[in-house]
Amino acid sequence: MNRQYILGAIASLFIFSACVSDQQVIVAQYDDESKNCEQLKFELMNLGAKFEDAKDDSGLTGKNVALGIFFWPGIIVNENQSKKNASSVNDRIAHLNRIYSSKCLGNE
Amino acid sequence: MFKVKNISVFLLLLLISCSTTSTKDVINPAGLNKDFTIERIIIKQSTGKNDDLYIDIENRMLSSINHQLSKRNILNKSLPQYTLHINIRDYEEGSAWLRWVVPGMGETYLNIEAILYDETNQPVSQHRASRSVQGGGGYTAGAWKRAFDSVAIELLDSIYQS
Repeated sequence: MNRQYILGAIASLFIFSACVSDQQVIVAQYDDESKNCEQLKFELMNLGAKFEDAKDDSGLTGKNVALGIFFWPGIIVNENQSKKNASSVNDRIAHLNRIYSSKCLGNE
Repeated sequence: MFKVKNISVFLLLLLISCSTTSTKDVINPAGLNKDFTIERIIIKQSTGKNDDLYIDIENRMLSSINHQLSKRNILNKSLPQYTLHINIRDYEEGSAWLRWVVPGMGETYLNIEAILYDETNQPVSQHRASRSVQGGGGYTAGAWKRAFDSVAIELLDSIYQS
């Protein structure tokens, strides 16, 4: 009986660790409009890398394969979450790009 | 033994299926640490789904926030009066039936961003709160209504938590 509990606990832990976490970013920050061109450029570069990271959580990943074995609906949950993470980064990039275009393009 | 196992699995699924999350960015700690009341609430939405929505989500959000504020008894006119700007980023009504058929599908989801301004209109803190219901059966029917209340609670907890 104890062995069953231990196995159950390990499986639960495994399922939890195989979940994609909520890493959404705040799209519009209070000081975006006051950022200068260099700050905007720097943040846009960082967001590019973050977007790639968020995209890497989707598709045939180790986490999804693990969930496929133990709890297949978790794959849908993971895909939804990674889509939300990527979408929030994408929205922030679009938001900063809009500010960058109006502020910095033509001044370079 | 069988019962214990079933209950554990049920609790595990329940835990995975519903979640409320929030993030907080304190801009002016002094402004946040003193007593204040939220006098004005300005809500807009940028979901891009104006035509697809059956309800006025801005009004629904406003009534949930007002309800929570009056429940907490913090509508004191003598305190500094702050303004809360809320932007509803994402909203999905979802479907309890779909969630029951395939956990993960038919998700109910609400995601907001908020900025709290002090009486001089300087930003005090910035917040993000979201609620998602990804699995469950008939008992999750009407989750879209409760999502607004859960997000309002989470947001006010985040604001008033020092």
